[in-house]
Amino acid sequence: MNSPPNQQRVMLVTGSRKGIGAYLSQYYADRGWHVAGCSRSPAEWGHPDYNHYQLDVGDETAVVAMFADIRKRYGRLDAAINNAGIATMNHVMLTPGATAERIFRTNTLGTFLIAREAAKLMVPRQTGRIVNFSTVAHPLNLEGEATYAASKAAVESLTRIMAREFSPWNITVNAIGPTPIDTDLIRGVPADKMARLIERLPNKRLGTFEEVSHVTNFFLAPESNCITGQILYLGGV
Amino acid sequence: MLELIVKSVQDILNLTDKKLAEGITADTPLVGAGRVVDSIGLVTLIVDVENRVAEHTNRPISLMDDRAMSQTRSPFRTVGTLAEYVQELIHADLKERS
Ligand SMILES: NC(=O)c1ccc[n+]([C@@H]2O[C@H](COP(=O)([O-])OP(=O)(O)OC[C@H]3O[C@@H](n4cnc5c(N)ncnc54)[C@H](OP(=O)(O)O)[C@@H]3O)[C@@H](O)[C@H]2O)c1
Repeated sequence: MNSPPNQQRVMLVTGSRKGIGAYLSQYYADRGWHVAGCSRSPAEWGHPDYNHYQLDVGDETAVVAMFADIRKRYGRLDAAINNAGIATMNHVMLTPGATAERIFRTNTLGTFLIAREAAKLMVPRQTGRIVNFSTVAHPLNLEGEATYAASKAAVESLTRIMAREFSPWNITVNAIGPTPIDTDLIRGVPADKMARLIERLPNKRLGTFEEVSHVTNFFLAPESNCITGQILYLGGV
Repeated sequence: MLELIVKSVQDILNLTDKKLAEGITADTPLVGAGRVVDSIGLVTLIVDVENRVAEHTNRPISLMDDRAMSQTRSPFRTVGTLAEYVQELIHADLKERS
């Protein structure tokens, strides 16, 4: 693992093993950031400006230990992207409590813990960017996605209130709500169901990774210092 | 420990240009009447103390654990009670590890 020189900007991306998290990690490592990433399994890719932590974002002790290591290694954190997330597609009457709990633990508690520890690392430098992940499933009230959408509704509420609470230290907190993007997250959704979902979008197609980084670039830009507490949906939702 | 907390309070006051008539001592209040930091200042202080202790001991500590929340008398009353409380947490952590 490389230690970046102290002036290099440091970003944390959760859920960086695959999917959107892997894309964003590589995207920012290619653009001068040092990226620390995490997921429950080892990363399936590598980059000289990337190092991987293996942990569950819903495990408070593990999250605190990761941030202690980031502090020791880099002494700073400029941005945190709360991308780790899991989904389930099922009717409420067919959803076990254990599944609902797992969704909330990763999506909601995970986002809370990572944002809390990230903000603590950002306080000394009085600046920072936190980007959370919501989904269009929440505003569209999609049937079959109750627990997933509810866990992301909670992420939106956390985003708005953390934006207020963290503003004295110039830490912005925003969220992106992507439309369906072709990753493992949606591979289990039957094709006819996906077609019907896309039909409900103003912009009737899948989203792309580049559309996600376009939004994260906007939130991360120095000029976005007064953009906070915002939820930006893709696909015209 | 008292020294570490005094230094932290001083640094936070320096950020706000607030001048104290007398210096910071163990009796300096952090909450309630005569407090030297506002609520945001207190959050900054707690985070700063956590950061400094972690640097010092190489162990992450959290000042806001269930114990702090459940104490009838807040450990954040004064610079002195905060110093005692942090010392207690470090001892408890050492004990747990041994
Ligand atoms: N794809 C879409 O259509 C879509 C649409 C809207 C919103 N989103 C949101 O975008 C984010 C990324 O989704 P994706 O499509 O990239 O999903 P994905 O391909 O399934 O990847 C999820 C990533 O999160 C990690 N992860 C899952 N649970 C974790 C945990 N408890 N702790 C740490 N890491 C964990 C996974 O790695 P491990 O398995 O190794 O832990 C993986 O790297 C999610 O928040 C999702 O809700 C996606």
